[in-house]
Amino acid sequence: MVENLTTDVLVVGAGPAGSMAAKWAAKSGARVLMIEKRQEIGSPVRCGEGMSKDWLKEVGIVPSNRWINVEVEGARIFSPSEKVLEINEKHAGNEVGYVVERDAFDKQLAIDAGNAGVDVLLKTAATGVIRENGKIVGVHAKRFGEPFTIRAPVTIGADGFESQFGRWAGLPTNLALKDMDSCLQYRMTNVDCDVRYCDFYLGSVAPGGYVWIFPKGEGLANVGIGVQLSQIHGTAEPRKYLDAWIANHPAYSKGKTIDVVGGGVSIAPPLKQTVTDGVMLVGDAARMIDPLTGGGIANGCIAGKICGEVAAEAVREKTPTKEFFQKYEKGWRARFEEKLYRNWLAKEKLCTLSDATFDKVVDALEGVKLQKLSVHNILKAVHEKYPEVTREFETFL
Amino acid sequence: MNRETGPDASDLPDPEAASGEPLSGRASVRRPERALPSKKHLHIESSGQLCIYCGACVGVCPLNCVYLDETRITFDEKICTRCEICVRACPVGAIAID
Ligand SMILES: Cc1cc2nc3c(=O)[nH]c(=O)nc-3n(C[C@H](O)[C@H](O)[C@H](O)COP(=O)(O)OP(=O)(O)OC[C@H]3O[C@@H](n4cnc5c(N)ncnc54)[C@H](O)[C@@H]3O)c2cc1C
Ligand code: SF4
Ligand code: SF4
Repeated sequence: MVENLTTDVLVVGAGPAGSMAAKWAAKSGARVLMIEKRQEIGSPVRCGEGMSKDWLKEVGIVPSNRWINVEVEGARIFSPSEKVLEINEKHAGNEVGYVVERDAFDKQLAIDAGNAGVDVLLKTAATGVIRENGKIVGVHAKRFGEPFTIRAPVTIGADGFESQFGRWAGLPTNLALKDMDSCLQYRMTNVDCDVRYCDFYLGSVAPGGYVWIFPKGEGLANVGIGVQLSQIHGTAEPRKYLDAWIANHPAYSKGKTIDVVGGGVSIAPPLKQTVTDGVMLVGDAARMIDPLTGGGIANGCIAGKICGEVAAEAVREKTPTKEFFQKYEKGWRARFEEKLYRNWLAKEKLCTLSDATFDKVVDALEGVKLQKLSVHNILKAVHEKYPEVTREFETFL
Repeated sequence: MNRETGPDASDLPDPEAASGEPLSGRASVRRPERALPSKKHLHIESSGQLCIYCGACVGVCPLNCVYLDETRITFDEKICTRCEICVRACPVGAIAID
């Protein structure tokens, strides 16, 4: 028999968002328990492992060679006929930065949480919520297969893209088909790629998404694809698209796959509600992934910190209510909601472009030195060469 | 509400509303509610030989009825409408309804 437990703050899921929330709740004085259904934090990896770096300091993460593979200088965007738009880091607004070892990164964040006093239970899955008088007061869980309960005034749902917790808690986190991508990635060795860049291939090679190549150094790279679910009609389509793309690229067709990674990514507008009585959602569970880039590590960690601090405060004040949690809701929204929304609008548009239009857009930008990479500046440059293309984008100008 | 598995189907919005748009497209993809009476008797399963345990199917299911233990996918067949969203979302084609 596993003993039933009680704590101040319960965190479901030990990904980056969960570990961040747990750490900051503990640092702010709460008793914190974090549960994770896997046997090993961070593994298996479900990530392209690219991330920007300007936000790390804000949340108290210290860059370390234990999890950084390479530091890239910029990104290259390839149109269908392989015209190239090069974006260096300064212009990219730090959209690129490191290619990391995600399992080592996740473990480091969990170590930081542990060092801050968080208790961690592995092989422990939440299986449902405990509701009393309409309020959620903890979860039903299984530890090594044995059922038990964990009660806590505050439960933080950080259970990732596959999140079931939010829906158990009655929060509307379901996604439209056009607002999610199905992804597959091979970690390949023996590939000849430029370690200075993260590469992105747009167009019908990956409907509604893109193919990415993130270099990990020494001939190793993550070669992956995301395809918009509304543009998938049969089975195993992401795998078929990715295999076809690789077969067409000499540098990659010689590569040897040593690892297969899959997963879902939300490319959705910001949720209307991420809190309810006794509950806050964070990270992928709260659909915080950037809909344009598909990157979710940074937003998950940034919101995680705010979430943890508010959780501890709610425990201290004995106010784990929906009203009190507005502090978190407003906090993360002030930090990045507008960008999520704008990038979602841009994604909605990009998904509709033909290969010919992608070629024109990238062609118009080739050789143009943009002062700052913004949707507005891009459109202005495109307008000078192909005014007919920008007509479709008038709402952005 | 079943505590062990979370809410049952009656607690959730209908899958059509939940997914936000009709599942048009090829003939093989049907609207979830139409799939209800005709397909519910069919068996849904993820093949252990193909599955990479990525969790995409768990996240996309509008009825929240797919479960991932570390290396095992199970479906609550009583709730599942066989809407095929998870079948399309699976990057490696591991889920079959037949
Ligand atoms: C193929 C792919 C490529 C990606 N590439 C990038 C990229 O290059 N850059 C980037 O920034 N982002 C990328 N992302 C997105 C990124 O991986 C996520 O945004 C990030 O992992 C979110 O962190 P999280 O903590 O919210 O969730 P996760 O990292 O998913 O962690 C959730 C944790 O909760 C656990 N869990 C789930 N259910 C339960 C339960 N019931 N009980 C207990 N524990 C549970 C899971 O096992 C998991 O460990 C990619 C995603 C995919 C699928
Ligand atoms: S077919 Fe798949 S997505 Fe649809 S209800 Fe069943 S398990 Fe969920
Ligand atoms: S989406 Fe496919 S590969 Fe991923 S866990 Fe589900 S059945 Fe397995």
